[in-house]
Order: sequence, then structure tokens, then C-alpha cells
Amino acid sequence: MNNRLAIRADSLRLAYDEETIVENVNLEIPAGRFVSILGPSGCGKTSLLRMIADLQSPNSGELTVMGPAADDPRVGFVFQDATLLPWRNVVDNIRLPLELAGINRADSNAAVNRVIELVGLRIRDRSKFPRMLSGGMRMRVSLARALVTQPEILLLDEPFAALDDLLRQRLNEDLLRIWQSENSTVVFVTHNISDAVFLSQEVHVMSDKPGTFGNTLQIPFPYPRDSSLRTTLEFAQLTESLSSLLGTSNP
Amino acid sequence: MNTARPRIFRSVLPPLVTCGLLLGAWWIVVELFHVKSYFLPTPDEVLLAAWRVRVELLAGCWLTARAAVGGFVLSVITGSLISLVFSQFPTVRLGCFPYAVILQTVPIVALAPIIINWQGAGFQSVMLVSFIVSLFPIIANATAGLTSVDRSLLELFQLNQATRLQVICKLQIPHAVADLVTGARTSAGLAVIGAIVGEFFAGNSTRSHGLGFMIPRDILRMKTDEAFAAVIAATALGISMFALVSILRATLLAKWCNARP
Repeated sequence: MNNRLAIRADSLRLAYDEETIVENVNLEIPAGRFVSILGPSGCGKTSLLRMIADLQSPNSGELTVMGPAADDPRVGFVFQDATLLPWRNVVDNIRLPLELAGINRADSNAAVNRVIELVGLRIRDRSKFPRMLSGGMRMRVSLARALVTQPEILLLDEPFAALDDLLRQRLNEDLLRIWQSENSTVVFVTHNISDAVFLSQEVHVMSDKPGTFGNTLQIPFPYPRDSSLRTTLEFAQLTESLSSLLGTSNP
Repeated sequence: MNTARPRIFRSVLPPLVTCGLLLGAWWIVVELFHVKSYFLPTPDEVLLAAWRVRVELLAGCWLTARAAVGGFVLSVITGSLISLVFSQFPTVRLGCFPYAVILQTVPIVALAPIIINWQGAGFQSVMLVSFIVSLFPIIANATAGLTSVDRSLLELFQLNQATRLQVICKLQIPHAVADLVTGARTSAGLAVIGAIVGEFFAGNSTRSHGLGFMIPRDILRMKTDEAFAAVIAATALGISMFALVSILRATLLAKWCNARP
């Protein structure tokens, strides 16, 4: 991992009308890290992610993505919902970012096939339409679509929150495997403490009204990680300290 | 096959039974109360009349169908283009949409003679009336479809630096197809009504006559059975056009229309 900063935010402030959404947000994420932003619902963590993705502009402060020289950083974004085009099958949904960039089908096929395999979709699902897929499968397609451009930064906005525990855990493990093979920077927004500990190298804790960063917790576990990690004492201690940082009584 | 058969029976049989009962009631009422045939003919008299004037009936049907299909196709094309403009320029939409609604509330029966005054009688005027009557559902539904795209889908396109043309062609238009078809189903029926009304006023100068011309003429001649036959033919025409759009929806356009939950 190099020392380059993937994301640097300096006293960001975002407000709608009278309401301040986030204030005094400072953040430095080195390239190649897996970082979680943990906070209660409505604390502004999604807004922060949207600012990083350039879907929203801060009212004040400075935000640099992939260094000041990068004028057009490749950013992948996974929404809370799969947000697939219902009239396109799996392959054509995944192809969309390349298609919008003007790359023709023949040239994009290799990239599409690569990510289909990467996210664990099966060959026979390739021509299915979104309505025929389960929630977990739809999220995999959404993830593949975000990965197809080989983004330098992958932003995930509570992507698996709607899935059941077992499925979420499996997708978390797949996400780690993908991160390790892709060598990109991942910013994972969640309100789930144990997911944040399981996945990330560091967890930034956000408080609400207005949203701002309090503490950062380093997660020292080596990769690859698997579900047995969740039963260890250190894991329990880290979730415990995170939940006290969040101000909740019990993990 | 074994499971499909009862389902067909269940969906086809009840309406057929209703139809039979209504026809029976009609027939009994006429026979029982000795209703004069020029007032209300029996179903079998209507059927015989239809057979008797079959050549004129079919020719009329063909003419009315052409006017209705022409008006309908014109509506779909014009309506879609207007909706596209509305969806791209909110100011234009805000300025014009109230008048599109007003156009809808003007009783076309009142407008038809005026149009004919401008256009003269004939096929073109009939088609024009059919077009005006069937235009609004297309505009209303297609505009709604084009402007109701999910915000996160728009953001997905924004994230990928999509051009405005790409957003229109790859997101807004495919998204609006289902709504357009919904509008087109309403429109198809209205186009037939428009053609019939148009022919009431302007169907007299053509060499052959449309159904809308034949109905009032037959009534004046006290050939009520033939008027009934023409009414039934007009109904069949409306149903056929509705069915045609529905078939299109389930086949060619299924990808866009079945997509939404």
C-alpha cells in the first residue's frame, strides 16, 4: 500500500436551508484501505459519501479525491438499493457504466465477464432480469456494476442492510475477497457495529445532529478474515468499545 | 394442460354466460312486450341485418378503422414528442400542461363541427377529430413516465458522467414505455370514438361511408336493426384496437412493460 491519500476532507460542511447535515468533517483515507464510517441513522454518513462521489457539493470546506491532480477519479458507488434497470438483464446492467463511457459491446465483454465471476454470479443468471433475482443476487449485480470500471475508490452506502444476517455475512466475506484482489480503496458506510469491525482496517465513528467525526478505531485483525473471527474475545471487545463510542448501552 | 383447462373455463365461461343471459333477456323483452322492430329489434334481427348489409358494413368498418388507426398513430407520435419536450423543459411543461388538460375537457362533439368548418368534410377531418380526442392520454401518461424516473437511477447515470442524450435514450424513454402503453390503451378506444363522432359530422363526402355516418342515417330511415349492426361493428373495432395494444404490450414491449413490480 502506498502513502497516497485516496480521500482528504477538510472541515466539510453541508446544510439544507436551516438544517446543518454535517459540520466540521475532517477525514483522511490512505489509498488501498478498507475504511468504515459508522454512525446512527440520519447522522449524515450517506451525505458524506455522496459528497465524495461528487453527487453533492459541500457548502464549505475542501474535499480532494485521489489527490489534487486527479481531475476525474474513477469512483464506484453501490447504493442502498440495487438500483438496477428493470428492462435490462444482468449482463446489460453490469455493462451500463462502460456503455455510457462509449465502449462498445465487444470491448466491454471481457470486463463484464470478469466482474460477474468476481462477485460470484452464476453463468445461468447472466440473462435473467432483475425481477427474477433474489435481493442478495441483485446486490451482487449492483456490486459488479460498480466494479466493472475498475474504480480506484469503491463507495458503499449500507449496501447489504436490507438482507438477512446470514446472507449479509456471506456478502461481507465476498466483499473482503474482492477488495483484496482489486486493490482499491473501499469506504463502507454502515450502522452495523459488528459488520464495521469485521470488514475494516479502521472505523470512523460519526455522531449526529449535526454529523461530525468523533473517534477513529483501528481494527488490527489480519486478512483474510472469516466468520470465526466474530467469536473471538478481541472482536467482542472492539464491538463493545465502538458501541460505547456510539453511545449505545449494549452492542 | 390439466391445470390450464379449468383456468380458461373460469376466465372465459362467466363472461360468456353473462352475454348469453343479456341476449336472452333482450330477446324475451322484445317478444313479450311486442316492441316494434324499428324501436328495438331482436338480437337475431340485428344479426340478419348485419348479414344483409355485410358489404357496406365491412367497407364502413374498414374506413372507420383507417381513420381511427390514423388518428391513434398520429396521437402516439405527436403525444410522445410533446411529452419528450415537456420532460426536458420543465418551464415549457408548466406553461403548457394546463392547456393540455383544458384540451381534454373541451367536449369534442362541440369542437368537431368547427374543425370540419375549417378542414371541410372528408376522411382527413375524421382522422383529425380522432387524433384530437386520443391525444391527451398519451401526453399525460408519457410525461408522467418520463419524469418519474427513480432519483437513484438518475444519480447512477450522473456518477457515470452520462450525457443528457444518454439519460433520455437509455433511462427516461425505456422507463416511460410502460406508461406510454397504458396511455395508448385508453387512447385506442378514444380514437375509435373520435372517428365515429367525426363521421357523424364529416363522413358524408366520401365515396364509401364510415360506421359513424351509417348509424344516424339508418335511424332516420327507421332501419334500427342496421344501425344496431353498425354500433356492434364499431364496438368490435374499439375492442380490437384495445386488444392490439394489449398484445403489443405482452409481446414486443414486454421487456419494458413487465419490468416493474
